[in-house]
Amino acid sequence: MLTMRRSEVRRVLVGAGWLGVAWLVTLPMTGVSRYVTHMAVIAGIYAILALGLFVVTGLTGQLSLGQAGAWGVGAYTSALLTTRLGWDFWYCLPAVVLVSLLVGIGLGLPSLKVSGLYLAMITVGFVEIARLVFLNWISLTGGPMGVINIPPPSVLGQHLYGPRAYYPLVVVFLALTILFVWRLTNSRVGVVLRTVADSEVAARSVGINTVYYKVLAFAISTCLGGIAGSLYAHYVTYIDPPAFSLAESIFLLIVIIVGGKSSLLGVVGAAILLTFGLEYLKALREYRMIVYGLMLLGCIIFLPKGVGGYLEELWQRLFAGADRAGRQTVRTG
Amino acid sequence: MPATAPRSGPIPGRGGVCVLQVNGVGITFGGLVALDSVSLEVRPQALFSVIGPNGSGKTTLFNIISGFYRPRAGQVLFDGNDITGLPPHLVARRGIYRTFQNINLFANMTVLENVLAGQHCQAETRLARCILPFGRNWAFEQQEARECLDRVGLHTRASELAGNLSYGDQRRLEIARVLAGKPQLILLDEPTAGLNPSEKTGASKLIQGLVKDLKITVVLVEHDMSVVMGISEEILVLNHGRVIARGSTEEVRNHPQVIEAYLGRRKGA
Repeated sequence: MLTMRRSEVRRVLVGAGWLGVAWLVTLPMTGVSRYVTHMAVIAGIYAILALGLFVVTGLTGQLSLGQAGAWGVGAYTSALLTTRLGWDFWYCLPAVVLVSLLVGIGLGLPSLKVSGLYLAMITVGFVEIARLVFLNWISLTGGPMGVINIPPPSVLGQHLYGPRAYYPLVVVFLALTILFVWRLTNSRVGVVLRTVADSEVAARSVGINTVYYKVLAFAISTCLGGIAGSLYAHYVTYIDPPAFSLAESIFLLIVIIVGGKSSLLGVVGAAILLTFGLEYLKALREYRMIVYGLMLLGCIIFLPKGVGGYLEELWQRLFAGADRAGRQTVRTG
Repeated sequence: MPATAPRSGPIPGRGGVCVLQVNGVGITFGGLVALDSVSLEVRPQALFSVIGPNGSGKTTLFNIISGFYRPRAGQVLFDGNDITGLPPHLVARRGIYRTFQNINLFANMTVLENVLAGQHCQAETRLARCILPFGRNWAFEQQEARECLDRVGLHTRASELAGNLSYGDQRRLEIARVLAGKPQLILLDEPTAGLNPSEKTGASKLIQGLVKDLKITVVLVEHDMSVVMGISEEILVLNHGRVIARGSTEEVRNHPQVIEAYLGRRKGA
């Protein structure tokens, strides 16, 4: 009969988790097809986008449907700078961050006056305006023809062309994003951002400038969105306006809610699984969104903290005693 | 801003030193005059109480001092500086903290996180400094937060969600959160409402300790007369938005208008 202590079970599970991570990191070398690698690249980009949304919607509690717009702005900025001005991908990145920062401040400032669903409506407006600009400013963006021949980035003289070459780049960016958001969540700034979601009145009473932190959250979120956009543009080498529609924002919102608004790993997991899911449900054509709609509804009713949040809770309950005392000083995200 | 460096100077015409001065403050909501030329002065390290029947404007007065409402007339001076109409977060930055009549905690965050949030004005909040693993501020601040919890007796509940605490513990947590900001002046809005008699005694002791041990000035809004009479040094009585009496507990207790407006009505009820 197999008897194991809780701490041993925990160690085995953690070990299995790291093995899984190692498998994901080395995915292109494990003999999977080019197609699966391509999907994994796209999933990684979606995970970065979702983590951006996690900061603004998960931590700060501001419902944002603007992430597709930030994604598009990042993609077009990077694409135009490389194709028109001949910039290198790596020089584009700071420019993308700067432009995204401005977009984020613009998107966050309405939170001075409006909140909740009204703020969400403004973010919807932003996505539509961005899409219409991409579509109609033909002299700059190429309009419906999009931007073609976006050069792939090069690292150490190697052009990262095709999924197998691009995958490590996305893994590095995703890892850095996870590290950043994880540090943010567990820092004082993370605590402050969550107070804004919890009670704005109480937050202001202890000296927290809630407007500043809402704008900050939006800015972080659009920066991550912009970086994801840049990664996307240089991967697919061709972008056009429909790629950055409101449907993408809604998909990301589903990712956040199914993954768990307070669970960083849940959001990353959901971004990856739902991206693959969407691909494998392609046979259902547009009906596949019904499946996602039902999933969303189910999560809101039965798992308000999302699948990730539920699993985290379960983990805590099972292994609370196995944790070293004093480690749970601050609830992790 | 260290909490122990009050910059109070003599206020002209009063001959004394006061940390908080409210001059002829008035506010209306629609046609209702909620406060009408209310004035008060609070000396440093005093325990000053504001009492009055329901709807007499006590909480409105707190909302004006703490910056949540902008008064139609009058001014609020803190340490001799005009703070009228400053937004709440800047009022807190000056050293004025408040609690809420209907407890207002970060209910979905842990007890410790509530106190950590309370340290906001004292703490390192720059994004880069918070995220990069340099410096030991964060660990130090967590230690300080635990000491605040210790003071109100909640140190064993640090990792529980604030919303899951009992009513009395939530009131104490609000005080711990306020203390974390190292305040000069605390506005306590009915800190013993809904507590049982033994909890009320504990709360009274805690409030007295704030003044005596931590040298904090406390302004208290309270309905429970035994609490108010037991610990206040000076009392201001409001009725229908007007000051009807002020003075020591004895003076207020025997004031005919107070008996009529407040205590008398309680007896008759």
